[in-house]
Amino acid sequence: MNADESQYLRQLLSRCALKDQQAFAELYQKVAGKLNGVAYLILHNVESANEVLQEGFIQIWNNAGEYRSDAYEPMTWMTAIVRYRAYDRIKYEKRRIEGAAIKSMLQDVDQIENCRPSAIQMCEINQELNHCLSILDEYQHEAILLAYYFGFSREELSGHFERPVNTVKSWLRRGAERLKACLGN
Amino acid sequence: MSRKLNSPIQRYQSEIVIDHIASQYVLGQLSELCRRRVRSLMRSGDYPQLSKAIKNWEVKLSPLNEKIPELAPLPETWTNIQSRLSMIDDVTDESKDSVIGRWLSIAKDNWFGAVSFASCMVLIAFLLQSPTQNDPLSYVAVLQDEQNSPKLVAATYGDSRRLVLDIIDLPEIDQEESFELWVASKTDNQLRSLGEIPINTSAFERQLSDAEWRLIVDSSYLIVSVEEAGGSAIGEPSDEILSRGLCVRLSAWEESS
Repeated sequence: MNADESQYLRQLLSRCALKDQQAFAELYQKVAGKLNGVAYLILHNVESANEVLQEGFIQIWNNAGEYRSDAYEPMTWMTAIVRYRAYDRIKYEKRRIEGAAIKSMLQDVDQIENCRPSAIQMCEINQELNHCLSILDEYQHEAILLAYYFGFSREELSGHFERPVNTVKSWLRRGAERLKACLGN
Repeated sequence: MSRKLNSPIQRYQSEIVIDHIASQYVLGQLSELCRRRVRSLMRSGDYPQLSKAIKNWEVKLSPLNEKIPELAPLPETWTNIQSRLSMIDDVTDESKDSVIGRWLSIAKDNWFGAVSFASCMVLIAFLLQSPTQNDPLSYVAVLQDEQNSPKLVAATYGDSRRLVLDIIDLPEIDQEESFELWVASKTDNQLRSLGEIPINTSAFERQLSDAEWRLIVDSSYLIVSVEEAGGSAIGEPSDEILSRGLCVRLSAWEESS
C-alpha cells in the first residue's frame, strides 16, 4: 500500500469517527477483501472468516475515534483488530490444515514482493523484516510465520514439527528476541 | 499483605516480561484467559509500556500482512454490518387501545408469574408510551437483573421486523466495554448475538436482518451481557450477565399474521 492509499484510508477513518456512513462504506470496499483474507488464513473457513470480518468492521466503526495516525498505519490498526478476533475464534473451529497445504501456503506468503516506485518505504521495511527473519534458525522462522499467518497454537506447531511443546515455546521466544534485536526498537 | 487495589503489578513493569507477553500476544500464542487479561491490563491504563510493546510488535510484523492474499467477502457480510449499525428511525404514534389489547393478550399466555410486579408495570408503561408503527408488536421481553429489577424492554414489530429497545437502567461501563444483546434459541438452547446496545441512550431501534428475525421467532429468552467494545469476539456472552427476560409472542400479532 503506498502513501497516497494510506492517507486516503486515514481520511476515511477520520470520517468514520464522525459517523460518516458513506466513508464507512468506502472503507469496507477498499479493505474488506484484505481483512477477510487475514481472517480466512487463520480460520480456514469462509463463513467464520466473514463473521470475524463483520465483527471486526463493527469494532472499526465503533472505535474509529481511537485510531491514532501517529502510531499506526491504518491497515496495521485494522488488521490487528481482525487478527485478534480470528485468534479468539480459533478454538471454536475444527481446522484441518494438512502438512502439504501448509508448505504451499508458506511458500506463497514467503515470496518477497517486488518494490514498486510508489511503495519504496514499505518495501524497505519489508526487506528489513525479511532480512531479520532470514537470520533466524529455520524452525524459529517457520514457527513464527505459522503462528502469525495461520494462528497455529504451540500444540499445533508441536504436532506439525513433531517436537515437544516446550521446544516450540523456546523457538517462539528466542525467535521473537532475535527478531527484536535485529529490527531494533 | 494483599496487593493494594489499583496498584500496578510489579511483574508487568519488567521490560523482559512485557516484551515476551507482547510478542506472544501478537503471535496469538496466549490462552484465551491470558488474552483477556492482557486486554484488561491495557484498558486499565496502568500499563502503558505493555500497550506500547504490543503496538511495536504489531508494527514490526505488519509487512507480513502485505503478502496475505485478498478474499472477497460474502455479499451478506456487508448487509449484516449495515443491519447491525443502522440508525434510529422516527416512528409514529398508534392507537393506545390496540396496544392495551395486545397487553391483555399477554395475560392469556400466563406470563405474569414469570416477571416481577415492577416489570409488569414497566411493560404496561412501555406498551402505553411506546411510539409504534402501523405494523403490530409481535414479541416483547422485559429483561430483569437478579433482584428482579427491570433493566430493559425489548420488542419487535411483526411486519417491519424492527427491534425496539427501551433502556430503563443499565449501569455505567468503561469506554472499552459495551453492552451486547443475546437471544437464546428454543430449538437448540444456543445463545446468539443480536448486536451491541448503544451506550448513553434511552431508546434504540433498528432493522433486523432475515437471519436475526428467525432468531426472534425461535427465541426463548433474551440476555444482556457486558463485553469488550465491539462486542464479544468469540460469539458467546461473557460471564458478566446483567439481565435476562423471557421472550413472549403476542397473540394480537399472531392473529394478524
